Amino acid sequence: MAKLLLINLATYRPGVNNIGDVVGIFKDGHAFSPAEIAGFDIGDMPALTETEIHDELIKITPSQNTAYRLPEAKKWVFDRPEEKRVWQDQNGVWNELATTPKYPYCLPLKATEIDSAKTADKATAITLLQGKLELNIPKFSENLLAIDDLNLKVEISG
Amino acid sequence: MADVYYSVGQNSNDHSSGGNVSITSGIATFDTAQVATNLGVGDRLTYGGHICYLASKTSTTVWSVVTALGVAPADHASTTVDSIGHEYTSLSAAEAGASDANHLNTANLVTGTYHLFFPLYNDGATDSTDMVVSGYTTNSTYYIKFYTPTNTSTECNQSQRHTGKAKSGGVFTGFTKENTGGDIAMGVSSDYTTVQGVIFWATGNYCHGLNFSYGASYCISRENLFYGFGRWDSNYNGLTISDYHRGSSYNDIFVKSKLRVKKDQSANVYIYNASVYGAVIDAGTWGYGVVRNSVASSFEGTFNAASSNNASEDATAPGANSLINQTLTNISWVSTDTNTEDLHINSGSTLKDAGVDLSGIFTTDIDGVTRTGTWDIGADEYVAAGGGLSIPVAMADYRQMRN
Repeated sequence: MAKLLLINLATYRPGVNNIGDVVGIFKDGHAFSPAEIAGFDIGDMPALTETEIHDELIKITPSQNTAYRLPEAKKWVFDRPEEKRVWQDQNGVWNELATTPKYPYCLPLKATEIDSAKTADKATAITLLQGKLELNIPKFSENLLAIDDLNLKVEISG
Repeated sequence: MADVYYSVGQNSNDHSSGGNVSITSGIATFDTAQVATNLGVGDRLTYGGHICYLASKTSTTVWSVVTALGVAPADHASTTVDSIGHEYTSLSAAEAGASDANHLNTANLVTGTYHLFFPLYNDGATDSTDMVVSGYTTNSTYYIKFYTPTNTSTECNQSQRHTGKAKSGGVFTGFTKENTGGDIAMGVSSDYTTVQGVIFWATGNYCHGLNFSYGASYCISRENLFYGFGRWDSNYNGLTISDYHRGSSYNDIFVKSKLRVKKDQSANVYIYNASVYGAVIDAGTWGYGVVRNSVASSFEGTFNAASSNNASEDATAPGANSLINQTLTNISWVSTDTNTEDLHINSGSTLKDAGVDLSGIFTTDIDGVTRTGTWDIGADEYVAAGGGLSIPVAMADYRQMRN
């Protein structure tokens, strides 16, 4: 019983967002305003709860962390260590998170899919979500720079 | 130059009281008083197939109105009021929708010569969708402001702002941006953005409140209340300000929430009259944090030499005329009880009359009370019982703060 508010052609701004970007997730009973109905696609998925949609988002959400580059080891200094935000891709590689997307997720549904979602059962709705849901972090090339220091493999010899 | 208002609440209900309306030279005259408590500037008035927006209030029957582009709508003879409601039901939708073809049709406020105002209304629920303000072109003249209207004579029928207390009767008292566990409740990457009078509330673990990020210049947080962002991990902040072209915090209250200056460039950040209970003000080690008239449990890092008149529970309050090793009895908050924290001060507080006059920058406190005499440290200027008057920040004062 949930609705997704999605960027559509009316609110698409090149370089800022993309068609299908998930602007928000709302409970089924939420009534959107005329401005929202005119400016966004509304992915109405009555078979799924807000929590179930969040669960699907979490499944594709990568680990994120802050990495610190320490000054010379065992030396007291006043400066704090240099820090970067990093994220872990599907292959387990830690990459720099240079650009945080305005919207973390994109669900580029076609008009026919928006229509069918309204009557889809839970299994079909989940399948639709899993098939269409995209993570926006890897869409930025600057976020694909691996941080070698964090990806050192420890080889254990027999 | 045009002032544009798009209201944000948590529902799309019709708040009108019915009746007819006529419009002449940008003045809407209703034959029935429009009295809903959560009705005011930025709300969409629909009549006879037309749309305009409430821009200021003369009375419950007389409001000035503007179009989506901030100009006076065409005159219209008396006709039925179809509805009055909030333009958006979430901040995230408002930020994304304001530049569409039904509204500004541009994200460039400078070429369009727009002031973009988002009045925020408390319909009783929280706004819990994480969002980022970005992609708008602004400057010191044409800017963005998210704010809770307070003036019942000129803006709204009932103040939509918190009372400066965490909760009253177990519930928050004004427009509340909730973070249920996402990364950042509200990120700001567009320059010249002000966020005023909002409660930021952490109900999830490990999350941040308001974040003026790298690239956001001249952004201001003022009269906001940050609650519970440090409950789980002190690395999570109520307010984070990158030292990128002077972000500012005025009269903000932090309950168990940290205020952090984050290094991205090398410009000063101005923290004036902050009240922080159960957490720290962290300026990093770079010396860009100018902190004045602020009180916290502790101050961490290296503060700019211009810092002064601060107070701390330990010995870390930076700058001249600062008070150190202040017990909670000395500070004398009204309440530090969990869920009913109230960082107004009692008459015997050592914070009283211990600040410095910053009236060249702003003149009021968390409640909108004009600061007089020797300023107090913290977000609250002490007023004896029965005193105090909520006074909104005038536009001239707002523009002055930009300089």
